Amino acid sequence: MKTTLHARGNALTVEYRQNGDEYTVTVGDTALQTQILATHEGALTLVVDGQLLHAHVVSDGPRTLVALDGHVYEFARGEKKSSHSRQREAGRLSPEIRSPMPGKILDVRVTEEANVETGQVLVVLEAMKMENALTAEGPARVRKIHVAAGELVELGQLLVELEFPQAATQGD
Amino acid sequence: MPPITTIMFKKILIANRGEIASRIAQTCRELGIATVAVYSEADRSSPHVYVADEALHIGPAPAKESYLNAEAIITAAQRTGAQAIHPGYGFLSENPTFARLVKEAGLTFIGPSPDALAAVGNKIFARQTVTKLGVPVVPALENPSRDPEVLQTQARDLGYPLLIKAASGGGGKGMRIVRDEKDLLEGVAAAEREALAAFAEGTVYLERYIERPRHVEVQILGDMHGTLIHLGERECSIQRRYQKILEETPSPAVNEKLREEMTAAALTVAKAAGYYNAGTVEFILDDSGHFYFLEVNARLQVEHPITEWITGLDLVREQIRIASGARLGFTQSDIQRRGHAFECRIYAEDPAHGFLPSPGKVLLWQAPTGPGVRVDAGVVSHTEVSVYYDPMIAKLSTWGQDREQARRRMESALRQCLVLGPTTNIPFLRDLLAHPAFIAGATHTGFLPEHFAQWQAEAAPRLNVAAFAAAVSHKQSTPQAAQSVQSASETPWQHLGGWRIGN
Repeated sequence: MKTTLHARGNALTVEYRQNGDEYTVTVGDTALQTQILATHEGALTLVVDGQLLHAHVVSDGPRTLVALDGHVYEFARGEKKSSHSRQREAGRLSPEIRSPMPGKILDVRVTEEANVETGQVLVVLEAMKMENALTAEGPARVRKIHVAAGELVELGQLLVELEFPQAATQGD
Repeated sequence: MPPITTIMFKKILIANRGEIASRIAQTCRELGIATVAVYSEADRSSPHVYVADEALHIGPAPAKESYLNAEAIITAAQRTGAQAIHPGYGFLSENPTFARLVKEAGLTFIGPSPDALAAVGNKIFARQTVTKLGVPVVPALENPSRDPEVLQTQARDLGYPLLIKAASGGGGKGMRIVRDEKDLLEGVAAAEREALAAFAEGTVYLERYIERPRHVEVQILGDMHGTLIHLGERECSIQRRYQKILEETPSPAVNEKLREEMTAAALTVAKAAGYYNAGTVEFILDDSGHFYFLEVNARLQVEHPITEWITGLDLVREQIRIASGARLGFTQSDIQRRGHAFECRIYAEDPAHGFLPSPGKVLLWQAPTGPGVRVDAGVVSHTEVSVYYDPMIAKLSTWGQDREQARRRMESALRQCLVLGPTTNIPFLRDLLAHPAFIAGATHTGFLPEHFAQWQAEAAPRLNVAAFAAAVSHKQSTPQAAQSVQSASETPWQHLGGWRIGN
């Protein structure tokens, strides 16, 4: 059985063979011997290297989330990556800065045509009782600003358009 | 044993949402009091709606039109025949006008009197009244001279380092730290310019700058018959964006002598305001043991569970009893504090990206359990963390015989706590609890910027096992899989169809 998952933009090939409750697994070029003791509604009890582990797996559209030993792992299936966050996970920079929640624009810190650095604050949004700084994910030029301070914005509303240098937009 | 008091309320309306609404309903149930929940459009299927005996829709999602709509809430209470309103924290809890309207409607506000609320909510009361009472406030120069030479003398009297603040300020704008006299005049001029730009008003004042301050607060509890006691302190220095994320009691920085001084000061302030019910007096504590009054929080605090852990009291029960006119039934000497407690606030937010809120559906929520572990949750699996309200989804608190046991229990509780869906601060909290400076109790309000400014989640240690679990589970959850499981339960996996994804 062979499947390919994406974790933080990296493709990960999972291959396994089953013999009773024993599984011989290869992830990338790492081999793994595991046993599945029980499964119930997305909960798996596994034994790996003699250690008992509980995993919880849920799917949400193209995302699969796994909680294992106190950590959360996120995997993406398929190639369509529509939302801003998925683009970020895949290591691709989004040229469109959209409002992650409804709120009020407190401050616009950049001007059109300006060059911005990674992490530079573009817009400050007040929402969910807090000030949230929306930043540039990479060095870019500000192509267009669609909002002004004091304006109320909706979830997903386009705030700022950036233009990344050619090389930065190709990585995936 | 306090004498058993008959509670006069038969029904209470809870004017709040999330974990605190559920927590208040829990105590009401224990007291045999019926509860009424109110909810906004966005909270139609939130857990707090279901734990109450009745629930009323009070308006659209924005808080201003629902949880802050005093009229809608009072009408809901009258329609359902509730006799009292518990405001929880936030929203209308410290609003004297609301408290007065509740009273005028012939209902009981579970909290301090409207007058006491107004008194402690007034910032001028804060500095002037409190100073007169002999309670220290951070030394300040409210009207700095325009004459440079006089100003320099005034600043020297105040003492360095000092902080220049905009009089009409907030959010750190127009604030400047000056450590040396040579930077004073330039600092004042710059702060005035900033203040003018931000608030159209350039007045500044000077305040002594407290290095590495701790945030320490005292819980007070008083009835309407003149009994007023304290329940010890809580330290809440661990903050991000001026909001607490972890609290503990007792404070590692407070010894018995300091506790006596701080709690006495807290009671003095509360008494002067004619305060009854539960409240909190907040102080700043510097690294040489001097404390300064900050403000009074005239409500039940988010972090009240840790005080409940070490005192064994149920603060909501006491609030309801006090509001019903009952006597406290115990005195200061009856309060025994035992052990140590921590609280961690679980937020749907991303600590690696400036703590940006991460709203969305909680696909799976599983609370930790075990000795000395308490969970106050505002979500269940499939609850939507709404963009309209505070993104706190639960509070974990742990108790231990000593600080280290309570800390280890919290580490273990955080490891067990499952939230799948939104990004949470759980990994961040775990790293925080394991930090040597935190273990040593060397906390202050700048702790997170100092130690965790560049924090990133550690590399996933079991990525391969997780990837396998994802791959193998997906097959089980397909429709064919369900059938196969039934027909061949001994080895369901081998019957499952292929899953080709990604390429």
